[in-house]
Amino acid sequence: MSWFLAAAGILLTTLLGFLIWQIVIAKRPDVWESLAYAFPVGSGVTVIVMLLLALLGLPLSRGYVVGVVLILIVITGIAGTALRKLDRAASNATPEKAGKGLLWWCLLGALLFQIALVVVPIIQERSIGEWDAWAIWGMKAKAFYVDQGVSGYLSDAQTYAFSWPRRPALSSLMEAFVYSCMGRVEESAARVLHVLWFVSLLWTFYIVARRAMNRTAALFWTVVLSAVPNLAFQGNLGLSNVVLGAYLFAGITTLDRWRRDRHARVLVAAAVLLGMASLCRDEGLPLALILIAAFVVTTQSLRGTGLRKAALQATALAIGTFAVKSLWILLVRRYPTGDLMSEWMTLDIFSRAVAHLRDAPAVLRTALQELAVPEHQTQSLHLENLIGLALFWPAFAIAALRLFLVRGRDPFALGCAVTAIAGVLMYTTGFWLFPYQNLADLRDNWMFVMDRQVLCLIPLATYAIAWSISGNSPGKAG
Amino acid sequence: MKVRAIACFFGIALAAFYAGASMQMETRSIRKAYRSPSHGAIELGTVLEQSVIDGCVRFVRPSDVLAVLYTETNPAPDVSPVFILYRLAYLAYPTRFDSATIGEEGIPAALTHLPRKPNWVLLLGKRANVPGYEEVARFSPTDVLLRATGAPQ
Repeated sequence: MSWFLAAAGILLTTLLGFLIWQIVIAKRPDVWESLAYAFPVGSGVTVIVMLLLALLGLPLSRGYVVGVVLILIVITGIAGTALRKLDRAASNATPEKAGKGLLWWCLLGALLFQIALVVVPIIQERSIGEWDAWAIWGMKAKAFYVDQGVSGYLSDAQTYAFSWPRRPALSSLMEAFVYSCMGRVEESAARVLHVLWFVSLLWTFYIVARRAMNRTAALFWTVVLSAVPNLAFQGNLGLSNVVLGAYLFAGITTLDRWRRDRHARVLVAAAVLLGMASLCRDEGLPLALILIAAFVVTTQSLRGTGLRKAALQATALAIGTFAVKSLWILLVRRYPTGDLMSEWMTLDIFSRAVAHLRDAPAVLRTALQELAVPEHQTQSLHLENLIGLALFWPAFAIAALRLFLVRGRDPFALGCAVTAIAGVLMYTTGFWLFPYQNLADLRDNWMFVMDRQVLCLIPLATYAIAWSISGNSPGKAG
Repeated sequence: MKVRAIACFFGIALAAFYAGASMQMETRSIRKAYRSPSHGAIELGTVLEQSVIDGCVRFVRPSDVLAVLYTETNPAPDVSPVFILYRLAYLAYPTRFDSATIGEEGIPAALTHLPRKPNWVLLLGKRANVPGYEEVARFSPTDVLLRATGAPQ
């Protein structure tokens, strides 16, 4: 029964997201596209509802949240129907009805198999096992559910300092919503929730890629994305990196749609999606701002509309993004959770950078020694290594080079590449200045944490690679 | 063209660096081979850690305060006080937890350093009689759970 209630809760939020997206793209209704965006949009809006309830001092109970979501479903349903009656323009977002060949079906089978591989570990181990997944995100989710609000946890932030109370917690709030629907803490349900974000990311990727290449090529690159080892590995753990990646990708693809459509509601949707990205993790906001800047600089809007107008558009987007993020900031400021930024700025950044430089060779040496241990090497698949290590980032480097140099390039693909490069640069700088206790700590930062952090940039980098290789393939859709 | 060249240089340099440095799949196994609590190495803990955690969860209630006192030189290296503390805080929420190291001054002094008086004390790495507390569970010769005397059963 509790699983049925969880499914009902998730379906409600997905329905809300579907209806909202149908309104956003009212002039170009495409059911498959709306379905791809439905879960990220619906869960993001549900989290915004929960934040507003918390700000109003209302409990985050099942009754309140589901009640508001139902009201929103009715409102968006009515608004969608009204808009559709006003504007019956034919869809031009749906690609031509090209037949799906045998290869396409084989690739679909491979994709479904890969998704099944992400689900199987949940059946094997139902609980959340990864340290950060339970100590940070799971801790918040459980606390928000047990307390039916955020006050119990945030007011005792000192006790739970290990779970980084100030960190924005979109995934935790959504997990708490699922727990509320079920009436108990069920960690496997939280893990399933993360698989839904992972699948939404893949689906969105395919929907966007098929605009620029034929269906088979689009599905091939979606399979490649699903097989990037660490991305697939973390698709079910309960961490927020893949969730952030899903929202960043949804945000930039919506921006690209706005570049072509020029509808204000699409621009608003892009800003809200990037705001949702900023609610996923601390670095969500700077990454969203980098993405906005990269998009405005690399797309035709700069040349077509002039620098001043482009700057205004970027500012409007940034304000919209920050408006969503501010819901969490306003909430956290009510409680004594400390000020991370002031702590960060008072530390000796220069000496940290110098120490990092001094210790880097020793860390590299230690890392290489560890990688030389045979049992460490044999536990991963060669194919995974091939895709994850030998091919991915070099392929991205070549793709980025082509995107920078070639004429007639896709501005969206270029925007993806620039955002991925700037994002990696941001993470590198952050890690270079991050405090550490000893060499082991530093090694952990570079080897275990960095590859996890850049996960959110993998979809952007993959799209850049895909366009660079298959972007001119025949069967382009509108 | 200069801007493009610089951007290309950065892109290639960084991508080449991460191709070698991230070693994504290898870290998956190394992550489990090392036990550094700071960055997610411990996963779900050892059998002994699990027994300590399960035992404490069975006894404590939401309104309780449990203090974890541990020695810096724990004779049972398989027990990580940090892991137990964090995991307990997660599993037994909203039970409140505090922690302190047992220094040369002993357990009573460590108890005075806590922000609130606990009605449960978990000693890790040292078994001792603590005035005002009685032993209710022993997980290993040096890991014991104490309850404040007079507290409800």
